[in-house]
Amino acid sequence: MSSPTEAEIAADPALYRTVLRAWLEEGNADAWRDSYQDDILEETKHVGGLVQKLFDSGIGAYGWPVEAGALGGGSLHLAILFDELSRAGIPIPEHYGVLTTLGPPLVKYAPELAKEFLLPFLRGEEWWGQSFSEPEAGSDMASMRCRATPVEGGYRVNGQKIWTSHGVGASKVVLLCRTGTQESRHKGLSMFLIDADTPGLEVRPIALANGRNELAEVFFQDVFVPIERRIGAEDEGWAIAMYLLQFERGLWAWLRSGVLLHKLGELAAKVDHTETAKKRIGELYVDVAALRARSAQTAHELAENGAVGPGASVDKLLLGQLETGVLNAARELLGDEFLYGEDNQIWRSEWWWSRTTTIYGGAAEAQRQIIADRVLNLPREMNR
Amino acid sequence: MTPDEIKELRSTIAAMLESSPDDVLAQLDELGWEDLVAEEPEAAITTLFTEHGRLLGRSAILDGVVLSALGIEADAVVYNAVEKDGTVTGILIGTGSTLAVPALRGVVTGEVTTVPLPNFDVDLTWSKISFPAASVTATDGEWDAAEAAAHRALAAEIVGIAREMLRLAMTYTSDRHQYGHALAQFQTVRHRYADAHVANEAADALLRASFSTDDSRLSRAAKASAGKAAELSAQHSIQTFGAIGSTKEHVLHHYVARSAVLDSLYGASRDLTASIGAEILESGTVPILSEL
Repeated sequence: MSSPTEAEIAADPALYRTVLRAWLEEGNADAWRDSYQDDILEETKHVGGLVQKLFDSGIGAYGWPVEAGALGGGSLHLAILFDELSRAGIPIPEHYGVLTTLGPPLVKYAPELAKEFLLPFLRGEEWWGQSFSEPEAGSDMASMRCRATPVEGGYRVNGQKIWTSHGVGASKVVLLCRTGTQESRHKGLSMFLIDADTPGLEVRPIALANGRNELAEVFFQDVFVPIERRIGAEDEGWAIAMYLLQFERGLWAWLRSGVLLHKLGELAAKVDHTETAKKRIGELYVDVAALRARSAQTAHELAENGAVGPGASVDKLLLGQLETGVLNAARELLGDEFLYGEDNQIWRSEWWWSRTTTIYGGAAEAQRQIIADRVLNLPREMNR
Repeated sequence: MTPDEIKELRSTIAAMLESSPDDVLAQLDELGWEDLVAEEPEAAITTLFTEHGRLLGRSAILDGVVLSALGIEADAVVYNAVEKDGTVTGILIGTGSTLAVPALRGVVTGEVTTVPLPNFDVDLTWSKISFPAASVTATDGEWDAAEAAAHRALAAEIVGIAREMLRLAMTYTSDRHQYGHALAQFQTVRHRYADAHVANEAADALLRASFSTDDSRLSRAAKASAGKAAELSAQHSIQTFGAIGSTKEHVLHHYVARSAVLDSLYGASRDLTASIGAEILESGTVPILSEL
């Protein structure tokens, strides 16, 4: 059998799976099997090596357009990449999580920017941060105040962002900020792609309680952004952010379900075979199977229609329940082993990180609100 | 099947269940049910059983699914059979002289004793059946396939009931006003419904995925998940209906009790869950499921 062409692989997700699995079975990714490091910056740089190897060998270049320097194919290719990495027991590089959410809106709303800038990200040489939240605008994103004011040739940005994942070390940030009046709420927002080394832009790490600088604050003081770096039209930012969040709620959930399945296996291998353990491990398996079934449906919908509705909030809630559920079970079943000693530092660290999973991308309460309003069509909440 | 075809199937089935609820099996035959199940198992089974749940059907269609998957000649199925001191007891939904006993992988044809079974669901006239263990003939059949088929059918029926409970509660609290607002405008009520909806959708996704694999873990997980979802939907519906939801006069109790007794058949939610957990611990591996 002759090897399939790139065009054939791009057109056929099942064929992609075969080729990818063979590549992984050759042991190409084995050097990244245990990637955890206490210093998240070092860890992210380290796993960037896997992203680069995947891309340069062609195997990690599907799921993104040819125009951006990749080999074509769609979001199903990405979903399969995550699935096969998990199956092979390889941790999924952090780059893919951010790429999966920031990449699609760039490709759709700013193909010229994607063409010019996406390649180093796809190759694992750099990663970007997502700067949406503000101290006074968390889940209530429409109340954000960081502002881009039009000047000759572009905009000047002033304000503050917070909770940027992987903000430390990011080479660019995708910024959502105000271009309309404060009263315009979600109608007056715009999105930009900004170099992190632009004068006036400062990134300050935020350490989670596990000691890792997982998040960052980003400060903007008269930061100049050329007009070419605007993603989409002025005041179109909310629509683009909503488009982005579909991927964060859908495809990201699929990515994480593979990671969590793997994590559940690690936990099962460590615990005593008590009745409590059987019950908890069984419950979590049912939950992870449900998340996979649900997010696989969503990935197909995204691939076919390029959009999913407010139902993606169901995926998001299932994911948060599972992320916290797996780490809660680890704490419950491992007991003292969880709390003390060198060996289980990673479980303690991930327990803290898992607390953020029902907050980021719109808190669980905001997701329930979306479901109540737009899926169940209940009468509007009082006082809102 | 296209969404329109499924919609049509649903209204055909609903009309059938409403017009002649006691004659469902014969009517399904007329519809060419066997062929439809063979060609479109997911659409056929989920639609029939979801509607049977929603409309509180009392027919023995579950027997039909089990026996058809088993591939052996029998009239009805003995559920939840337990052997003790040489006597087998179980639950009988249908009627007949030749009975399949999945828990013992055999068939019983001789003398049996049946008595009415007091039931959490007062609408159901199920029987308690007992017979000597010696009168069970071990029989070759597709027992595993029958179990998976029963799990899928029951999961579909339970999801149908769970969604209906939630729909009833949401309709009620959208009209019922207290403190100057519809109850469904209070966040605490809305969030309960959102959580129940998420659980119902999770069970439905698992159910649909379980049709595309022979791995029994998915069908077990689907039934376990459906049972849990129905419990949550029941809990939130009962609470938000206020006292009326616990009265005999109101319809809600029919759904609450029905979902509970269906959950008990062929392995209750908690038992299925624990069995999956035990297998994972025993084998030391967590199988990757539901490929895209």
